[in-house]
Amino acid sequence: MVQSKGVMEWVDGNLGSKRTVKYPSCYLIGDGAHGEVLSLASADKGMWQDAGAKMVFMAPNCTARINSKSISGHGGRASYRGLVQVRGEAPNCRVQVNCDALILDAKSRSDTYPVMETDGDLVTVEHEASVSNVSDEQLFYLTSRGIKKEEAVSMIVNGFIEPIVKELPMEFAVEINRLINLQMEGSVG
Amino acid sequence: MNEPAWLQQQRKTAQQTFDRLPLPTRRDLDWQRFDIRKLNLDKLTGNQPSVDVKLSAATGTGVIFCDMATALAKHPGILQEYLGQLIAPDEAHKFNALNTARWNTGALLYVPAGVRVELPVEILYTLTGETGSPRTLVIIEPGAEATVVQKFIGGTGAINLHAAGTEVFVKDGGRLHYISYQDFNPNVYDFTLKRARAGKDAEIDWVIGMFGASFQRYDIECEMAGEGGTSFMYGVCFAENQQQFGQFTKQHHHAGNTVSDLLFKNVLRDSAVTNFTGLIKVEKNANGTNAYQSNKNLVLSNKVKCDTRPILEIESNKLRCTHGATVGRLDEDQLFYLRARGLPEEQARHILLEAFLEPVLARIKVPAVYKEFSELIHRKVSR
Repeated sequence: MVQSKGVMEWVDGNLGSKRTVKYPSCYLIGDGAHGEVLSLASADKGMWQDAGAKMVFMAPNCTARINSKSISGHGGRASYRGLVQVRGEAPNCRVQVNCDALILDAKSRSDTYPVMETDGDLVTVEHEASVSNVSDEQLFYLTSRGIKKEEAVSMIVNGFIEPIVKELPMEFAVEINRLINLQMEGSVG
Repeated sequence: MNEPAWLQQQRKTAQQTFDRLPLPTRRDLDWQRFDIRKLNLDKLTGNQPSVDVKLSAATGTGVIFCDMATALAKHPGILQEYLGQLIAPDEAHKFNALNTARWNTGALLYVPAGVRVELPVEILYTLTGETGSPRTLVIIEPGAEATVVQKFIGGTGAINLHAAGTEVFVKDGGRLHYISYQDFNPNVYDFTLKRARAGKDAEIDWVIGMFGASFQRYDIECEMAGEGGTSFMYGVCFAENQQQFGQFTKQHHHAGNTVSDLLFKNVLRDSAVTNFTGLIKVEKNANGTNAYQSNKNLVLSNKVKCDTRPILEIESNKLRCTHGATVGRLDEDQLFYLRARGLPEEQARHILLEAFLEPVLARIKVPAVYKEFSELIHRKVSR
């Protein structure tokens, strides 16, 4: 619950466990409240990361941002599931959702299930998502400069999650980077 | 009409499917925003579907273009081969099953290999009774090319039920430009399913117009079955008063190096309701897929309800797949720009509204239909 002019910021990292179902939520109930979710998921072998965010607008002039990045490799499955709900009593609200997914190999899978429900005309909702793989051009660029393929993939993945890691306190950033590198071991795009 | 055994079997299965499935309610995820309680199915399905079919002439050697009764009498082989291939009678979709069980009219277009149909082929369906169930079948053989313009109108003014089904096959290297739009009278409840299969290097280019009726559920799906196929789906919807529109799209990539693009633009005003649910599904071996999906909504009143659910399900790892969805008002800056140039506010709004829908209209390659679309929209905008 975020009251008037309050700010709630979730930073959500999902890197382990077999099945994760987790949707940090912000209920914006006060005038001018702001909610933010940064979500990072990495689905490795045997994992299904079903993560996302919920933003429920119940008061005027609220804003929110959801930024999600997911990586699936070694047969893992990463899903973004999100809800943006703007009730009629919440005019002048604005929300922006970005989700990007990276698929590392042919065994893995990536899904995006966003739901956006809006009432009325005083609302701005933007949603953007993309799913892509590590491109051969990127790999070629790095490997032709003498970087081992494995390391190159790791660099590309690190670049991909950089915008989220940048927002973290330094200790966590270091930890996340190491964890991701650990998962990347043995994955060849 | 004495129908062949295979068709009787299809209808029987479909009728069982229809009877078995309950009427969707707000508990179903896809139906949360919709209210179809005014539909009295028992009463409506009691009478015979009644749709008037008008077809233009079609040119080209070996081209078959006729209504369904003629097709059954003269080309039963074609119907038996294709009918029901894409719309299975036992699929758990109540109103598709209704169409299969009850269609008594419709149209068949068959274009033989390598033949190019120069002029657009026109199909006009007019709903003349309480219910209507036309069925359309389009087959474009390898290397053939055609443009189809399909228009739905009519309605008696009382609560009407219309369930339409269209199956489209575009084979290797074939090209089809398919424009379909409806401008029903109010109180029509329309359930429409269009399903297409695109072969190797085939191209399907859809433009859909949603203007009339009280309720419309539009399912449009394209299966990319062959390497190098392309599908474009463009839709425009102008929802006003208490109109309800559901748009359910599917871009299904089975084969590699296929391209699909989708753009649905909706304008909502008064107490209109729209729900766009779009799915891009990329199967495991469909490497090199490039898929895009965009749903843009313009909301003009504080009573409208607008939902958008763009969904991706990706199992391939060599692809590019993106989507975007927006809900917003007219841009104040743009409005200011036009007003600062001396345009009255109302006129400036009309220009911006028409400009918002123009990218879809620009995809219509038949000038007369383009004109009809823009006049329809202009009338609604300047109501």
